[in-house]
Amino acid sequence: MGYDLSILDQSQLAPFPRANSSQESCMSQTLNSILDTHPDFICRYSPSLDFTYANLAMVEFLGSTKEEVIGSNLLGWYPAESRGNILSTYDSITHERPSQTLMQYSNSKTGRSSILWTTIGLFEGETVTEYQSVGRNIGTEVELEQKLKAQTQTLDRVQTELRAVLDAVPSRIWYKDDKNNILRLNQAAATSMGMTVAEVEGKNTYDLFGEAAKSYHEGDLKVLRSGEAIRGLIEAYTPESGEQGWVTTDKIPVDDNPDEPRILVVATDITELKEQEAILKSINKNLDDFASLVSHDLQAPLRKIAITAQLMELELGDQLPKSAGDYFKDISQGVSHMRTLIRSFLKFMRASPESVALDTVNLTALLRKMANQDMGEAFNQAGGTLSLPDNDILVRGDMDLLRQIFANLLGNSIKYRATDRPIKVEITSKQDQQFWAITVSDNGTGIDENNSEQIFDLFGRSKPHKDIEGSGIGLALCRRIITLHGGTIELVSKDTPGSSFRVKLNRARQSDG
Amino acid sequence: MDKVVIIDDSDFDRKMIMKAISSKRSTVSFTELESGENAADVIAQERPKITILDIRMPGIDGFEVLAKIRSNPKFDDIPIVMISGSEEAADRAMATEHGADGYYVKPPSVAGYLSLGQNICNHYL
Repeated sequence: MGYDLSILDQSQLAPFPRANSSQESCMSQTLNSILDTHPDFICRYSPSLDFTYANLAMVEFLGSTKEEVIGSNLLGWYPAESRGNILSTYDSITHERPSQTLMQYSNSKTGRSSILWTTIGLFEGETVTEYQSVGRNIGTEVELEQKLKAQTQTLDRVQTELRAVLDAVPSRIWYKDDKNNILRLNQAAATSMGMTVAEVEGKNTYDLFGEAAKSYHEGDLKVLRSGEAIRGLIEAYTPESGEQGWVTTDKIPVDDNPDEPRILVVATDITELKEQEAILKSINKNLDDFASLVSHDLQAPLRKIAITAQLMELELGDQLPKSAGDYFKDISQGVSHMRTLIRSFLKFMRASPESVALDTVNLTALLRKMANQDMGEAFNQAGGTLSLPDNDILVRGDMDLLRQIFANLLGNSIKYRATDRPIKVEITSKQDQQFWAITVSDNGTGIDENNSEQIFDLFGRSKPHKDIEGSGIGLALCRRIITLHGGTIELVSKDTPGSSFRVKLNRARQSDG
Repeated sequence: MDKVVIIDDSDFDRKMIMKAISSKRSTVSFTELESGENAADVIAQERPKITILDIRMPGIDGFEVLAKIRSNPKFDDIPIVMISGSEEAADRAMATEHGADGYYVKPPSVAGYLSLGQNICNHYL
């Protein structure tokens, strides 16, 4: 162990001055009182290692009294296993070669353990030669050094771990100062620069990339000056070899020391995402074009068929046989059905996340409003009853789209009613931590449970309904809209005749406003 | 005679519009264009009481034709109504944005066309 020996004053090893007995007695008392104020442990021993002198610091260190210490044997104060070493230390001491040694001391009386740095020499008296020792408790220093060593090891381990973590991150990470010096970077960042970590760390970006580094530096300085992080900066990059790519960059100021501004730059490669986005845009464009085609180009010939048939009936009706009237009716029904299909299909195509405007909707109020308007009228005309929940159902949704969903479900209940009993529809609700579950149950013709999923497919109808006009899109559209709301819709089994649909929608939170 | 210019690539739709207006007003003469390429020249020459302009046409679409006509102040006093097979709200909004005086969806029935003819006569002729 490399202890600093300069902490000890070698002059303390000098022999005590000589005097006559009265002078000696007086001087001895004076000297003792001086030595008692000294913080080091000063003692003398006889050749058999009995204490002949111990200053106050030593006595206190031993946790004893002068009376008890003076005359006692030094070895008695040490543990048995240390005594051999002590003896051999004292045996080796000569006038020419005092010993400087480190000793572990365990005090059985006080229970303290200390580390002593002790200088032992010989004191030549008039009649006897004695050992003289000056010691200092350097336990605190040793403890500090051990702590420092342990902390250094911990720091080394943390740095190794940090490096491993940094290098495992796929994003590119640079830690820079305001002079554009790269203080740290991870493996991904070095690879993106076509270099190794060692080649880049500690280098100035201008030295690596010349003037090309300027724009990055200016961006960094802007962040450091404002103290505000910039996130999600999307930039193109072109590697030395390979094709152009895209990264999204976060620039975060590290403001723990204003005198040494630092910035953390984290860039994530989003080239693949960008490519997928381009593909998605192209698909969406095709879908838009297709929707436009459906909306305009398919409607035009349909309109022409309908109007021509009407004109024929109006202008030539008298000249045609009576049966022509049925044909005109068939044409009109066919056109009407086709128009319904096109409109429903268009709605289905246009349902997208962008088309949903989420807000807090009181579903109970919406259902009541529907019951007081067209839907209530439809139930009245069909001779049915509609029962609504009393409690407020506050959901997170798009009012118009939710109206469309429940108009569809209630419309189906009317459309697929049983012929032998009046329609009865009941809407009930239940909530859990996240969702409101709204159940729409009717006593209609019901749906085969084997088709419980098929009915939500585009153009999927549960069974042929020759006399009931339907597009086969309604429930598919419902599911699509509800999915866009983060909810679910399912057909649930029912003990009594009819069908039952359970719609789950996210509960509105107070923070939703 | 009140002059009406109809710009629509569909013969059928032009015929129906003329039929609808004629059934309500006999003192109307029509100029038909199946594209908007020469629309500005024809309007300058005819000075119609109203121009009926289809939106979706091959080549130059109705919005471009409208923008071109509206960019010339000498046509400011000529009402232009747009007509389309599309029921999309975005088309209606765009028509207003481009300076159209009205927007009609092409009706799917004879009765609808007659109503459209009546509406045009009431407002513009």
